[in-house]
Amino acid sequence: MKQRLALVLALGVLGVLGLCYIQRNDPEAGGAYFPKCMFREVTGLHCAGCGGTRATHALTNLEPGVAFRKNPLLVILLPLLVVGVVLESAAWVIGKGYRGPRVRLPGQLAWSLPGIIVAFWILRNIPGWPFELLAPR
Amino acid sequence: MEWFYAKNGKREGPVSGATLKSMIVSGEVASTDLVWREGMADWRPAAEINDFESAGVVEPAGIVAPPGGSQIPQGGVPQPGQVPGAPVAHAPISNYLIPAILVTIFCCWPFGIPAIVFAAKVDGLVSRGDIAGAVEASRKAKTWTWVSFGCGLGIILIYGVFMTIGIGAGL
Repeated sequence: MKQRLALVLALGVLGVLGLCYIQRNDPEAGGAYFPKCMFREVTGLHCAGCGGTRATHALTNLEPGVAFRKNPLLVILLPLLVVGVVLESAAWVIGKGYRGPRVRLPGQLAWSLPGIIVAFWILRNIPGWPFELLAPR
Repeated sequence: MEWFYAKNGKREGPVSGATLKSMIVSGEVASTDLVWREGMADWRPAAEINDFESAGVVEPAGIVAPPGGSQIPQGGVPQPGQVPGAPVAHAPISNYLIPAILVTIFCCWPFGIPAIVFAAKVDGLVSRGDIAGAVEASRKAKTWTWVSFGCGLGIILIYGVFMTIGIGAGL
């Protein structure tokens, strides 16, 4: 449990440092190093996460509208992801004594989440209106 | 100590630790078959269990001392259904949903999709009582999550090496 707590705290510190870096450096300005999306490098297409770094840069600079244009799905999922990461990390650190809520997906909704992500992935690569609204702008 | 084991995708049991041990010795339960008892966080292959008989955890309501307090030897074979009304117990099964979504978005790699598909199936299988299926889906979600994470990390590292070489060649 101590090791897990240390690992989660270390990853948390790394995450905050990463957010600070993204907040200070504009991915579109050049100059700073940002890893490129390998899917885009290889295929020339947008992946479901493309625009995520730019969206994070916009969010950390309190520009939700800009962030939404870069990656709408990420901006919508972000609150759920943050809550999910906190809950699941707590469950993982505490182990079987954990009594709090866990992230659960009811059976009827099992295909919704992969469906939404795959559909978003495909649709944002279709040229022309309205699909181009889903691509990073 | 009541044990459950997974055989051909179905959950079997409960059986006592001694019975399970003899089933493993006789080969009826393979050392790679998954086993679980109340108190374990997850199903584990039988080979990983050293101690089948210690009662290190809170007993479920099923273990009731017989009247008079004397132990009646039963030849190590428990009666099925001897615990009327006992809830069907199973370990919480991690669904890996959050890690699967994170690697899909941050590693930009299609291997995250099977991870999400398997992760999304886990809870539905649990609620239908298909514990072995849920364990299997959970395991696959975990595998694909790590494959996606490894590919994402590996490719970024390779890319970094090439960039460094490129910068070196440019000077």
